[in-house]
Amino acid sequence: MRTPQTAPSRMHLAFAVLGLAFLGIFSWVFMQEFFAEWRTTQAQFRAIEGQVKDPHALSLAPPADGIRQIWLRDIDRVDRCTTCHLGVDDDAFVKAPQPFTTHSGTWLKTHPPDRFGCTVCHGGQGEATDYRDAAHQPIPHWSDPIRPRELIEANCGTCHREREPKEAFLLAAGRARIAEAGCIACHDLPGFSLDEVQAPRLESVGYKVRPDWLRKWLADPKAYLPQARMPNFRLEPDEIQDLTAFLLSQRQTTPLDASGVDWSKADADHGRAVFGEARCVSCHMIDGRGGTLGPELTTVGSKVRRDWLYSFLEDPMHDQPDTRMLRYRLADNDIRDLVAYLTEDLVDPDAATTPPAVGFLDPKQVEAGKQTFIKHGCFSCHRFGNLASTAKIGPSLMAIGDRTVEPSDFRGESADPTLENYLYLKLREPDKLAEDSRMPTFNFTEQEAATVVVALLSTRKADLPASRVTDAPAPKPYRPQGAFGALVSRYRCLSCHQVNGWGGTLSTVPLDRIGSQLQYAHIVAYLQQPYAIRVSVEARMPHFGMTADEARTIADYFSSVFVDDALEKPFAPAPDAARRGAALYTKLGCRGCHIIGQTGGYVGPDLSDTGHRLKPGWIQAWLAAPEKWKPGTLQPDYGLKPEEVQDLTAYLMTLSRTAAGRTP
Amino acid sequence: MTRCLRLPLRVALGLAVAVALGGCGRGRPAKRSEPLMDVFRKQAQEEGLTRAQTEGKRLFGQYCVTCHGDAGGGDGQNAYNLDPKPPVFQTSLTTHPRTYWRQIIEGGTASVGRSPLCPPWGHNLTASQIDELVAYLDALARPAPPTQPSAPAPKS
Repeated sequence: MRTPQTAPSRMHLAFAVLGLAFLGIFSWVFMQEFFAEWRTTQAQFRAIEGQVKDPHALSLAPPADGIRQIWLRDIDRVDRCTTCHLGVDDDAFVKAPQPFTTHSGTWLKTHPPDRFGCTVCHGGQGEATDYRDAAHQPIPHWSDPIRPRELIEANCGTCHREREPKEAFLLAAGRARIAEAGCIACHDLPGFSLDEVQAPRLESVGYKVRPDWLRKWLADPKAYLPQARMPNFRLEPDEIQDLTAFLLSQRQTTPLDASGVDWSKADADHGRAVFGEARCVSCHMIDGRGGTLGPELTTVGSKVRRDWLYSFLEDPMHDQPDTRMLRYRLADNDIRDLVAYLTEDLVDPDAATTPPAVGFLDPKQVEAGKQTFIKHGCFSCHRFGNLASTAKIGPSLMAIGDRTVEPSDFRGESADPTLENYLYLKLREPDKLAEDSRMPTFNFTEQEAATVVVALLSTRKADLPASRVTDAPAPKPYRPQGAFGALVSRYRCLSCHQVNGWGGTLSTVPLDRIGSQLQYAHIVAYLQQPYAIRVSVEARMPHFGMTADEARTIADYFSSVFVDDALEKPFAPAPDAARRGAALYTKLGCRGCHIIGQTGGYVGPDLSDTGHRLKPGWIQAWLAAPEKWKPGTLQPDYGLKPEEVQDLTAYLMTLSRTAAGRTP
Repeated sequence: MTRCLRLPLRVALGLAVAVALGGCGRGRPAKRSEPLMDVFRKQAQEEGLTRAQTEGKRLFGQYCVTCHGDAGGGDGQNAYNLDPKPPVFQTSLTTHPRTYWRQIIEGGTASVGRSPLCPPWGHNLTASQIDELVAYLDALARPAPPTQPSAPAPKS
């Protein structure tokens, strides 16, 4: 039975308990703050600071007592990492233990902390002031933990959007791999262009390939050719049959007429000689030797039909308007012999010798093949008339680096369910994470896949202010017109050379100022009869069979348009400059890399004919600052004085083939 | 009395269970594989190089192998054009201090009174690039790769 007197005492008790509870909570909060991790850390730092610094430096250093933070106003970010990482910008702490160690390398010079903070590059939770909450290790509900050093380049790429950011080699390799694999054909991805996807047009492929080759290729391109760029679509056998029928039914452009060719007179041995003289090997590989710009040719004779090949060599642009292959000026008989060499000598011994004639195909199967073609998105890479893609077949990867993944996405794979692991597994074996995935298998090696993951992780939401982003503007297409333009198109100069950053990279010589580098007469002679200037480089300019008129048209254009006035200064060396230059040539050891006549190394260009080849203004500019003209060049910058540059140039200008004892 | 105790007991039990469950949810799931990081670990283990040495190796590949050879054996493709021949790093590097290597990379062999055939790279390369090259030379001069490269810190 309750008495009225007990009620107030109970109230008192309740208040007392509550009061104690609040006192407890209050002191707990107070103690938390007082014994915070960062305070202990700062106390440790002060002890170390006393050891590594002399009293004077110590008196100048800002006291380490309190939270430090960097506020990046423009991206609304606060980093308190320097509350504990107190020695990052001070060289005195190189040998101090973490978290006090000096930042490695010269990164803080290029990325001053007051502008970049810490988490922009490293990730993690910048506002936290203890180890765990800063996400040094992954923590739940924080999607952006500190990146392990191996993956940190992914964060470089968020701001550095150019294809090859300096000093971020994994990222650059990953982006190069993405471009090469043609990911952009199926996925939206910033920084890449559909122009980079090089796959042959297929509207007339029915005239081109042999059915048994096509079936083999479709089953697994990399089994036919390990370096094939086409990935494996994991097609079912009936899909391969249907697709073969569909492709063989594509006969839009009839090949040029080869019916008049007398094949009985063809001379494969002469064809082999033509192949060598024309320098086809600069772009085409046979038995592991040669370039990779064009298709590999070891068994091309079992791949293509003879009449198609004849037509293709007569005019490659006839059915492949975008091909990188040039149109040689060869006699019909030379082309006939070349075709004979390619189709008779370069064959797969297991393949049938004669293909079935181009003939009737079952319309039902052709239609089924068309559906297969559409289903797998073949038109994404192979631009195909009215089947051109309207939308990309794969999901957009525009902000793939911000994507979250769930454990269920891993379908029983035991991997740690992070985005980077997901991307890695997906790239290696697309069908493992989704059975019905239409993404083909690229056969990336472990390292290749890892670099691609780094590049993909760098692709974040595009919400950075422009002042934080560095990017190399995409080169503008260069399409010259008129007589010069026709020659550039015919001889496909831009498959290897660049103008204003547009074009291929096989040649290391951009054409932008070529008219100020080379003498007119040399250009005219070289275009008609190219020779090896760098003996050790296998890729050489093809022997086009260019006429003298054509060579002069190109040289005229080069000498009047592709010039740099700064290089066109008159050159009047002192009388004994050449003699001093010759002594300098010996003293600097230039012969280690350059040949004159018969002696010297062959890392750099042969200098025997320099006096007839190069312009003195260019030689001087090059010797004074080679890195300026060609970053990463093997030409050492000797730090020459202007008069030394002039002496050396004067000497080089005296060199000529005739003087070196060769035929001019 | 028993009734009175039961309610707080229930609450306390419920709380304990909730805390325990919450704890489980917070902790990372049992050790799972990290296929991506494993690639880097494997590579680091095979090469046994630090990051600076890896960069140095890349620079070595770009600037040096033509004469010095892929592994610094003095057998690059241009070596036979040279007299004197490039040295075999595995033995020659052990006889000089690092400052001497640095001097050669920066100022060429001529700067230490030898032939001019190894040119100066001090204007082409930055100071940190030269540091990286020197670090890689350290790896080349090492008699054999370490049998126990430092294992990566295990994730908690």
